[in-house]
Amino acid sequence: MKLNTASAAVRFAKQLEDESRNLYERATERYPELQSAFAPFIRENKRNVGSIDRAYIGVVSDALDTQFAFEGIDTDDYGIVTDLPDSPDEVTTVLASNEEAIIAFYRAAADSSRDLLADVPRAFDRIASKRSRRTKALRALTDGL
Amino acid sequence: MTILQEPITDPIVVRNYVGGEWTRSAGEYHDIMDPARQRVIAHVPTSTSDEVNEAIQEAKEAFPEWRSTPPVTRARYLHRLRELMEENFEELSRIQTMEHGKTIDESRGETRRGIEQVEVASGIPSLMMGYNLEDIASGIDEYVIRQPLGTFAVIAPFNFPFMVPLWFAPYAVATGNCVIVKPSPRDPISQTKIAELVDEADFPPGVWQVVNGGTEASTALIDHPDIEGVAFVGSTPVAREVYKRAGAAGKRAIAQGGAKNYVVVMPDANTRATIPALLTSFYGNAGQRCLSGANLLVVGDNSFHDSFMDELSEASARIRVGYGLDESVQMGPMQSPDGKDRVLGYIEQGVDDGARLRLDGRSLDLVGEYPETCFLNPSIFEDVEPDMAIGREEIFGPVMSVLRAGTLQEAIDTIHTNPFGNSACIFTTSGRNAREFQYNTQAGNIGVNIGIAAPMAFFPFGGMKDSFFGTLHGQGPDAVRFFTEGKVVVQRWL
Repeated sequence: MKLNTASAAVRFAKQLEDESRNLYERATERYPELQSAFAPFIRENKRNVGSIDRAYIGVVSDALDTQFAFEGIDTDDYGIVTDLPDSPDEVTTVLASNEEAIIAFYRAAADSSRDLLADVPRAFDRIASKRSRRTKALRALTDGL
Repeated sequence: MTILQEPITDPIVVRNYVGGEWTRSAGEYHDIMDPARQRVIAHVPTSTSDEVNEAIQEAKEAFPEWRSTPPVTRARYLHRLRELMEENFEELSRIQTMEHGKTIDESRGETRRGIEQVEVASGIPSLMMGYNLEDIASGIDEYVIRQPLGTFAVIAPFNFPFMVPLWFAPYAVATGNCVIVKPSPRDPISQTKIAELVDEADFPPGVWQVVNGGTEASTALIDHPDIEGVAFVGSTPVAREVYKRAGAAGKRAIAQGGAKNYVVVMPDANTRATIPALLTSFYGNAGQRCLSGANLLVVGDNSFHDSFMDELSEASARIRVGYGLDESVQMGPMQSPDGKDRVLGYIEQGVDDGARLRLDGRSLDLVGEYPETCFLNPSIFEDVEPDMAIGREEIFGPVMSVLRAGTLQEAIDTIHTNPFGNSACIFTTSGRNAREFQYNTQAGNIGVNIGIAAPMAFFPFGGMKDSFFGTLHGQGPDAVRFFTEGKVVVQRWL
C-alpha cells in the first residue's frame, strides 16, 4: 500500500511501534529470561508513539504541508514478523530483523518528507537512531544465547 | 485505506450561544451539506437583527465585570479553553473536514493553528503591559496603560471555519473585551463546538457569544452603536465595504480581503523540495485559501521552464482527490457547488482568453465513489498573461496559472501589476535573490522557500493593497493593540 499523506504515514509508524511492542511483550511472557533486556524496548516503543504524535500534531511547521510529503513509500516493503518463534535465540534474531525493517521505514519516510516538513522527519530520524542501537543490542544478545 | 469515523452521524441543529445559554433562533433555517458526500449534516439559522441586538446587550452587561477581572485570571479561562481544545482535538478536526471538505491532515493543521492563538492570547498579562517613564519633569511621571473598549464583532469566512475567528476572539476576551462571533453560514459547526468548550470552561455569560446568520446579522453587528470594532475576513469587495462602514461610524476595523498570490521559481531553486511545496501552495485546501499560490512565475529560459513544468504537471496529475476523512486523500472537494461553478467559469474563461490548459481538472478522477457535485481535480494553465481574468482575478480554487519572466526584477514588476498584496513567495537557493524579493515585493506575507507564508500566532497576519484594509492586523501583538486603547497618564503628587 502506497503512503501519500502524513496522516497515513503516521498511522503506519504507530502501527509498527504497536506491533513491535506487542511482540516484545509476548516474548517476555514466554521467555522471562529476556525480560530485563526487553523491558526498556517496550517502554521506548510507547514513548516513540508519543514522540510521533507530538511531532505530527503538535508542530505547526509541519501541520499545513503534510499531505504531499510522503509519496512513494510502499508499506509492503516494511512488513515485520509478528509470530513468535520457538526458541529464545530465534526470537532475538527475528526481533533484530524486524528492527531493521522498521529502521528502513523511518529512514525512507524521513528522507521522503525532509524537504517539505521539519519536525516529523527529525522525529523519524531520532527514532531510527535509537532503534539502530537496539538492533546492536539484540545481535549481541543473540550471540550470547 | 483508512476512512476515519465521522463525528457527525445525525444532522445537528445549530443554535446561537447568547448570554451563556443555547438559544434556538427565530430565523429561517437552511441545510449544511457535507461537500464530499452531499449529505445534510446540520441545519443553521439566519438570525435576525433583534437576536444580534440581544447578544450585544448581553455583552454590554458582561463587560464591566469582565473588564475588571485581573488579566492573569482571564488568562486562566483561556488555559482551560486550550486544554479542552486539546482534549477534543480529533473530533474538532474531523468536524472541519465534514463541514468544509478539507483533508484530515489539513483539518488537524487548522486545529493546531487555532489552539496556538489561544495559547498566545493567554500570555496577556505580559502582552498587555504598558510602559512608563519617571520624572518627565522633576516629580512628574508619565505612563501608558492599555485598556479594553467593550464589545467586538468577528465576521468569519468559510475557508477556515475553526481557525480564523481565533485570530481575533481569544485576544478580544484576553484583553478584557466581550466578543460576538458570527460564523460563516456555510460551515458554522466548528464555532458552535468552540462555544461548547467556552461554556465548559465556564467563561462568564456574555463574554464569548456566537450568533449565526448571514448579511442581516453582519450588518446589525457592524452598525450597532455598542460594537466598538469589527474583524472581518472575506472577499475584497465586502472587506472594503466593511471597512468603510465601520470607519464612517468611528469604529475600529480589521478587514482582510482576497488575494492573487504569486509564487516565483528561480532557475537555481531546489526543484526536489520546490515541487511538493508548490502542490501544497496551489492545491492545499483545494485552493480555497487567502495564502494559496495562484500564479506561478517561472523565471529563466525555456529549457528550465519546460523541464520544471513537466515535473510539476506530472506531480499535480497524481494528486489523490476524494473524501477528506480518507487518510490517503491529498485534496478534498470545493466547499460548495457555487464555489465549484465559479472555478469552472474561470477555467472556461481561461481557455477562451487563449491560455493553454495543460492539466484539466474538470476531468474528475476521484479516490472512491462520491457525488461529483463539489469535486474538481487540479488544473494548470500555461501561457497566462497578467491581464487575463485567470491571471488577474482571485479564482479561489485548485487552478495554477503559469506565467514567465526573464529576470527576478521582471517577476517583481509583474507581481506589482496586480491589485492584491496578500502573499508572495520565492523559491531560490540565492540569498541575494531572496533578500531582493523580500525587500522589494509589495505583499504582506512573504515566503522564501515556503509555499504558504502563514505567520505563526505570535506574529501579525500581514496584508497590503486590496488584500487588507486597516492598520493593525489579526494575531499576536497587533491584535492586543487592536482590542485595546493606550491611555496616557501624567501623574504628579504634591
